[in-house]
Amino acid sequence: MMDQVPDDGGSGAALIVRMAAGDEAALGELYDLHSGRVYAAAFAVLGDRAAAEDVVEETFWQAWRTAATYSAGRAAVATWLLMIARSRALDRGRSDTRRVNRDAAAAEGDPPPTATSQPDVSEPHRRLAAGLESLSPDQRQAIELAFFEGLSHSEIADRIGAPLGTVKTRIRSALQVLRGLVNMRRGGTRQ
Amino acid sequence: MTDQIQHDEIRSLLPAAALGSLDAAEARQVNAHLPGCAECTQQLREYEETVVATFESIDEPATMGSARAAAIRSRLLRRASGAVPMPREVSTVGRAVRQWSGWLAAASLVGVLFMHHAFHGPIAGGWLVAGILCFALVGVTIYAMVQRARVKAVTRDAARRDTP
Repeated sequence: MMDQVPDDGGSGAALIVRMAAGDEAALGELYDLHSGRVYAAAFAVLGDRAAAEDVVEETFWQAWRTAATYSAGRAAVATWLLMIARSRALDRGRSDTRRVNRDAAAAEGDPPPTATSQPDVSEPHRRLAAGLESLSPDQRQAIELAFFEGLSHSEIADRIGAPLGTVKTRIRSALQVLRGLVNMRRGGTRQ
Repeated sequence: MTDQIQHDEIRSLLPAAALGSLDAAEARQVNAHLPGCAECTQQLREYEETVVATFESIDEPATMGSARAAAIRSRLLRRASGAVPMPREVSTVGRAVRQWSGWLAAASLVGVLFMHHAFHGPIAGGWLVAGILCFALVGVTIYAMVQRARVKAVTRDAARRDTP
């Protein structure tokens, strides 16, 4: 399952070029091609249908507005879109969490919860990616915090109480394992 | 720091860069290094593809209802064609003029009032009247700005909810 990023053979890049020239039909075609996977990624982070739909719209809107900055050599179109989607979803998740905390604190008159007690709104909706099961528990914990919550190195270190260097090593080794799996499965697919 | 050491250090940061989990200073380092290093650019691309492939491998991915998908598509196309007004990118000067236009108008009127009273003294206690008018003008201006902000918020909200 880890070889699904579509290789659009350049047609996606052509759509982006048309979008940069102001062709609205190209935006529609791009949406038809990728909205499903953008929604799935947003939902995986947020676990909320309405919020994920908002992220889909904002992702394609950002793609429309920044089409001129897209570089085909830098990333495939699907990768570019999903990186935007993940970023927008993480922003939305942080914003929602802040609002939930504020509302809860206002309702109960208590101080806002600390980072370690923040509700994880998306946890019940996550389906662990196949590759993550191949990681050690420590690697998996670090990469899930980075992957689904968008925490930085130092934030992860604070959250799990591990040295910063250890966190960097765990993330690096985890992504290398995942990368190896992607390459292996792609090789298997081609055979 | 030699170029090779810096290159090795940046390369070690690329997995986290693909995940967007670099601290701000690290992200600046990576962004400064990438334009001149094809190898790191390629590696970052591969790591980003790995991140995306991991997303794509989530079991039972959620699917969007066809009606909602069509509604979002339609709204996007209308936004792109300008049919649905969206906040436009405006220049800093333009934004500042818009933001402070109400205050500028109020200040101008107050200035005219004070100058008028300074030269003509048309009524007894003219300065007191001018002061009261000044407060009234500021109050009206604040009220108008609050109302304008509310109208903008309602308009933006309506545009977002306006699905066909």
